[in-house]
Amino acid sequence: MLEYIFLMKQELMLSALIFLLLIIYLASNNLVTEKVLTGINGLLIANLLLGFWGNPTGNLFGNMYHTDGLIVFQKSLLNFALLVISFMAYDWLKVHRHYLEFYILMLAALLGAFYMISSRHLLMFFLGLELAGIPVALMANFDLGRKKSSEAALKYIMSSAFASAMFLFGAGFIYALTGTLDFFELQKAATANPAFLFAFIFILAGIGFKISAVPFHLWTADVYQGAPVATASYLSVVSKGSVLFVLAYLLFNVFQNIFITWRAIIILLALLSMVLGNLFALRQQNSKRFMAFSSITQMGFVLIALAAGKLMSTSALIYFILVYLFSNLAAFGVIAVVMDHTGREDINAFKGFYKKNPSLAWVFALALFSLAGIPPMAGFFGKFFLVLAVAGSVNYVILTLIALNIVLSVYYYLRIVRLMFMDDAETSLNRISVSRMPKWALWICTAGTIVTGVMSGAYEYIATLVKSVW
Amino acid sequence: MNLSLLIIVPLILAVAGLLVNSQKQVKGIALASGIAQLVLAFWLAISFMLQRKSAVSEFLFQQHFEWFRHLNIGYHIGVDGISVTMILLTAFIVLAGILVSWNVKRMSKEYFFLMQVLAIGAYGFFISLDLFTLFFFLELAVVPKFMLIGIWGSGKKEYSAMKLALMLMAASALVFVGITGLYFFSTTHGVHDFNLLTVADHPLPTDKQKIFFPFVFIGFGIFTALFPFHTWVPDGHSSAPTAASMFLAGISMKLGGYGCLRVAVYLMPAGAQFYSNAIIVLACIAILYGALVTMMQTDLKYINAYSSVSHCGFVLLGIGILTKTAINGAVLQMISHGLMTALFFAVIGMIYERTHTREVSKMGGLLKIMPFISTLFVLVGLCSLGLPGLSGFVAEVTILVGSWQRVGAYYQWATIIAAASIVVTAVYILRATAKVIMGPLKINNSLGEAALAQLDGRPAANWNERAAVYLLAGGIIAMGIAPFLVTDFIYPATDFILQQLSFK
Amino acid sequence: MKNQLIILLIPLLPLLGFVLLGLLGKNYLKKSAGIIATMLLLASAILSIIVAGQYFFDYGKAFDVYVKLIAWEIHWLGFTNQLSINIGVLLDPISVIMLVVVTFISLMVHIFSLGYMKGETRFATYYAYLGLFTFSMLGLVLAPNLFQMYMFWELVGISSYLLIGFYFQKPSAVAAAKKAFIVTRFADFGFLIGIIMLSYFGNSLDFITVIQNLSQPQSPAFISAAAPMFLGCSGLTWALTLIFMGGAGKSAMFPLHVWLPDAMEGPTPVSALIHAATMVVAGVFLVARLFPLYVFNGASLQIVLFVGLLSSFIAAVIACTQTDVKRILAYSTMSQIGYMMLALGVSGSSGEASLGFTAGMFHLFTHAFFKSLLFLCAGVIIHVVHSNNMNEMGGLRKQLPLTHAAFLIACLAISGIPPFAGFFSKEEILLAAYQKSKGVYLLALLTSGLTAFYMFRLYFSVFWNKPAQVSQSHATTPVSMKIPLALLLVCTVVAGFISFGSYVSADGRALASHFHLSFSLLPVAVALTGIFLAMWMYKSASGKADAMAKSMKVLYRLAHNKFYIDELYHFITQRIIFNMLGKNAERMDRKFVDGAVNELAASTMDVSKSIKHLQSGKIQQYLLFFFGGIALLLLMFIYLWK
Repeated sequence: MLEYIFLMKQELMLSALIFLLLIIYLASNNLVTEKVLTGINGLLIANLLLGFWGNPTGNLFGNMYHTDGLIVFQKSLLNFALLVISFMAYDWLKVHRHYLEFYILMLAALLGAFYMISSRHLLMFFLGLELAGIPVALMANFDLGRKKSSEAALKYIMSSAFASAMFLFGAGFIYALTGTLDFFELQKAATANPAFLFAFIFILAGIGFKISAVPFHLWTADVYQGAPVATASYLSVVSKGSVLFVLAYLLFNVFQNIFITWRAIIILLALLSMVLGNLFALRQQNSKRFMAFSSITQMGFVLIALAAGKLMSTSALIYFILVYLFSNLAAFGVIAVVMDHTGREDINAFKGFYKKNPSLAWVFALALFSLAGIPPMAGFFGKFFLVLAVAGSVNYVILTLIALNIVLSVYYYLRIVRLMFMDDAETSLNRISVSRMPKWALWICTAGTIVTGVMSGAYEYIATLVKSVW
Repeated sequence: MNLSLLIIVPLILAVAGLLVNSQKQVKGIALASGIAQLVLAFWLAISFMLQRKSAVSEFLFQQHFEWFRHLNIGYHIGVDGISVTMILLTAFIVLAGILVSWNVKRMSKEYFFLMQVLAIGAYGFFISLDLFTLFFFLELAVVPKFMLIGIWGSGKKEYSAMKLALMLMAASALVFVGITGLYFFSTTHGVHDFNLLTVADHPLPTDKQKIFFPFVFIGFGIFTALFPFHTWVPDGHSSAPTAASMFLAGISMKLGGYGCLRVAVYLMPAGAQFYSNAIIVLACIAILYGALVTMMQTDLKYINAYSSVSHCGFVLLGIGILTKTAINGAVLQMISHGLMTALFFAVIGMIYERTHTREVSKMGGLLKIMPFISTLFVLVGLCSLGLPGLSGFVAEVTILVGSWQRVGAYYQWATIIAAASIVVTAVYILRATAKVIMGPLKINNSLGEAALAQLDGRPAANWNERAAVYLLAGGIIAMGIAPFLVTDFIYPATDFILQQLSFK
Repeated sequence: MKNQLIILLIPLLPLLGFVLLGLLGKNYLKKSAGIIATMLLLASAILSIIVAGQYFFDYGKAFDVYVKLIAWEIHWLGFTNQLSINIGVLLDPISVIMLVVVTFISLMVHIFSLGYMKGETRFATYYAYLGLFTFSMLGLVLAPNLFQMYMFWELVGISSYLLIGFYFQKPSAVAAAKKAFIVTRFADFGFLIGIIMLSYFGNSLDFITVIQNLSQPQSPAFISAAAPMFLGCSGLTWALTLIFMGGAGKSAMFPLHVWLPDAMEGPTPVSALIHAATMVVAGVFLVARLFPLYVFNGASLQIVLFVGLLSSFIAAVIACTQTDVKRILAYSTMSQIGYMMLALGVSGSSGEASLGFTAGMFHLFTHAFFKSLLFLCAGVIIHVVHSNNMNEMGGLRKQLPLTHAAFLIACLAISGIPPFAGFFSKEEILLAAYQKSKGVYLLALLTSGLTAFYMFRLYFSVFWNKPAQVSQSHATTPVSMKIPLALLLVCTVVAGFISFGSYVSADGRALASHFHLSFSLLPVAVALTGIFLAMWMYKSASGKADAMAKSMKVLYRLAHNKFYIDELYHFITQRIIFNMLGKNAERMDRKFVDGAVNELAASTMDVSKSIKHLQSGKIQQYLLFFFGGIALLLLMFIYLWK
């Protein structure tokens, strides 16, 4: 029993939180929102800290569930992202009637993600995937008054269902072929025969949907645009991050026998994601859609790293997620603040932004620099390591293509910087005062984008962890 | 001395500048930083000279810390003679740039901060002995340029800023591909390393050098206005505020030349030999074509920017020729061009502040009303056209002598073509001088007589402007009269590059 | 060497003047600038006479031969182990003679300018520039190696530029300065390449070493240099020809002479110093400096001879038709320098055959005096008349008796009438030419006659003829302008009697004077014919000159328009370089090179625009694409499977 608790500490904590919130929700309806929110945030911090306590390794449920230092770290990462999102959404939730439901859904989705990360069985994986996906559709609908929001939810749930179907199809196929869904068994059974590869492609498509890799990405922009910023940031960081962790595991362990095939496919997907993401991001006028395409491009860079050797790319990938977490959340945070105050979503709202709101503008600019991969921001390191990981195993033509895509992406990130710093405001912009919680979150993210890069500790920690586990 | 001071001191002072409030304090801190950098650079130069006599390695003051241990990325710094001169150059230009921008009113805090970030990028680049840190600092210096041009620039500043940022980013992307090639294919028995010295000891196999040399060379070449990738130069320089133009042409373009030498040629000697002829062709085109295009320009900043294309062509020619003398000349030309072009931009900026125009046709006879500035204009023009006694001559002549030393009619024709540019240079410099400085007095028509009268009463140049131009002009003249001050640093350092070329 | 300091002070004193006046002149030394500069130069001139005396009579001779001495040298800029630029001082007869000439003429001009430039707002600047010029010229003549020579060569050029453009608000002066610099720059381009070639072959930059290395037929350096290189000529020939190109540019030899007449836009004393006596003879000096190589090479010496001859003749013809006083003098300078070149061109390497060398240097020496005298006289005249146009002058002999006398004697000297300086040097040149080739001799003789004609045409038009109508406010000439005239006048009279050959010769050995009365008769007669012709035509106002011009209409027009060489250059620079090369290069840069960058950006945007329908917002389509993606991957996998 104790072992269960110990190994599943993060899942259990989350479950406890969900129950607690349910109880609160049912028990009383005249609570002071601020106090509850503060309480929740406190608990989330506790949850995060818990992740760093002890370093359990072990299997449960007949090897369906596995945990080790790396997995715990990955979960902590997601915990942290959730905490930051919660901080940032403070103002929005404060006035939202259904804030508790939002938390419950979000935590449930996170729980799904945890199970997914820990899964060592395709069925378990699918359960986690669904648990991590369906609540998000509801979260997307949380701007209750807006039609766009429900449209986004609908689009998400439909695409998600379709993707799940594909995934299930592939999983079923695999079961038919090998008679097992257990990862360890699969690893041995995986052969490069056509039917197996066929199944693999379906599975990959299902996962590709989650990380919005081109051509499974089309839902992304609409959903980001329609959903509340908190949901969009959850989607872009937590949802994608968790799937990427698993994908790395799957590719390098379960499917390592068909390395040659999946490598080519991954490179193709990666290049497609980069190019299309870039091309769409170039002309985006809506800041949330812009972030959507930017994240598609970023996924392209992450994917390309998977085409490399195991150790280097896994560390690079996890490190990149960490960096991406800080930068993307900072960007979303500023967008949320601006949306709250001006009600505008288009990027022209940022014209002349610097004059009135220098610190916000700097936060946003630094986040964008980080996303663009410009030193000394952490994004530079993240991207450098990703591409470096792959550089040894692809030829220089592909490498040049990747590098040029990075340049192309620099254009649209700098475009926003240009709007903020160099243009004059269209309408008279007021000074925006950011309340305490989001401010903290922004500070944390900005500090993160600066520190995690130049200080090599984070990467070194991750690399050591990866090395020790795998 | 501790080389890291070159990064730490400006960094601390740059951040300190952000923390204070009054404009006076901001400027004071910036000035202090500029002076501190110059002092550090001189200290470095002197202690380098003292220590070199007894040193075994050419790279002195090395420091090596592990940074990303798992990837063999280290913070590895050290300097040789070439880097010392480059650091000195940077310090000169940074201080002059800070002095010239004394009157920046709008967002001065950010302005000086970005300038210093740029300087940090340059210092870091020049002291790096690790390809990763080198690349880090190279890219670090790009965005401040974008911001400086975009925010404080003039004309079509946003277009220029974006163009410059993208082209330089593309350049660093190519460099990036090249250094990953160096990382993976250096024959160090399976251990990949970014360390410059290690890679130099275990160079790439020749076929890989042939692949990756162009990446690195073109990448750095874009920084130093390699034809046909030079178009960021004119737009970027002309839109930038004065100090940023000085930085761009004076330092940033040198990053490219230094990189070509340190990374491309030093680490891939076989590639350098293989592509030598192609580089020479491009360099000769840049030299002559740049000069011809300059001749047709009517905006003073464009004139200087295009002339930079021509002058930096000499740098590339020197590097492409690969003889000792030519490479020495290339380094000399980098220093000379850095000082000269910075001074030129400073002078143009001073003229612009007073006449509110940079159009050659709208000015005339400025010698009458601003003798000091005009004299400097003539001085720097003369340096540009290679007058002996000023730095430009020393550098260009060294390159030409060196390129003739490479045996073969091909190289001799290259020398002749390059030398022909000195005639065209004389043409455009003298045309500009004749129109702007000499001739009947005429200033920007829109200003009118009243402004002219006002101008007459105004002090010719403020103390800060004077200090800035004295600094740079002093450098030009010192190098022109006593080139041995500089060559003593450079010559032993190029021997190492030459050794690399001859062994592998 | 014990008197290093003295030698070094000679060029450094004018430099000191330049620095002092350049930095402080405008604010502090405005009044005293002229005196300071003149004093410094006086010291310099005295020192050079001391040095000359010491060299010729004390230490210069070793075993009856004047040797080249490196008096002082420092390492300046190294290229390779052998090749490096040293800055130093080389003493030999020609450099010592030049030292004296330069400092003396410069001193005269300094003194003259005290009066001439009085009241000028940029008085101090003017003297600073003069100092710079004198310094550069001295550095040039003392140069022990090719590169030092080139460096000071350029510095001389720039001082000339600054001085020609001294009246910077006058567009014509600015244009002339620009032209002078660019034309000589073009020539220097050849010079530079020549130096690089020569130093490459000779494996050194020092005159002494280069000459040594390249004048031994068996040495490997010589063999490689003598191998055919380009267009059938040997490398050495090319090198020497290119170096001569530099000399020709500076010395205004045809066809690079176009800048000299325009250069007269500068203040007149400057013309006397730079464009008559010192800088323009640098080319001659250069050829003399490398004379052993030229003689040894032969082919390049032929070019020197040919260019010299042609220039002297063409310039003389053009001079006959000009009306601007200073321009006439300029063309006469060009003609006389052509003479010097010719003299070098006909010379042999040593002994009697090398008479041409001595003669050429002798002419350089004497020419300096009478030509600067002529220019200073012209300065006085212009000062008085306020015009450069010969036709607006006349009858000035009464107002300006001293100037008149000086001008007349200088004219006689340049025409080669005994016993004035020009006679002796010209005589030797003609003799050398006669010994070499009769054709050259005849053309030189004809030129000599033309010289006498146009000089006296000028003389009679200015001092005789009908009195001028112009206001004569500056009728009194200040003393400071008279002193130099008088001193130069004395020199013009006596300089010819020096036995120049015993000091200066191609091989350093004394050369006996070559004065043959029988030979001199014909040249003097020709000169007298010219003078009388000029007297007949111009002494009093008459239509004779116009009638003459009309009778040779085509020739006259050609000569009057300077054989349309300016127009030709204008065509080349304006049409070909600017309009064809420059404009197209500019257009190409904007349209293609920059255009490509912009086009790349624009087309990326276009692609981005054209694919926007992919993101239609319709879920059905999304799912279709989803499925399409899977199909694509399957296809790819099938492809891979094969």
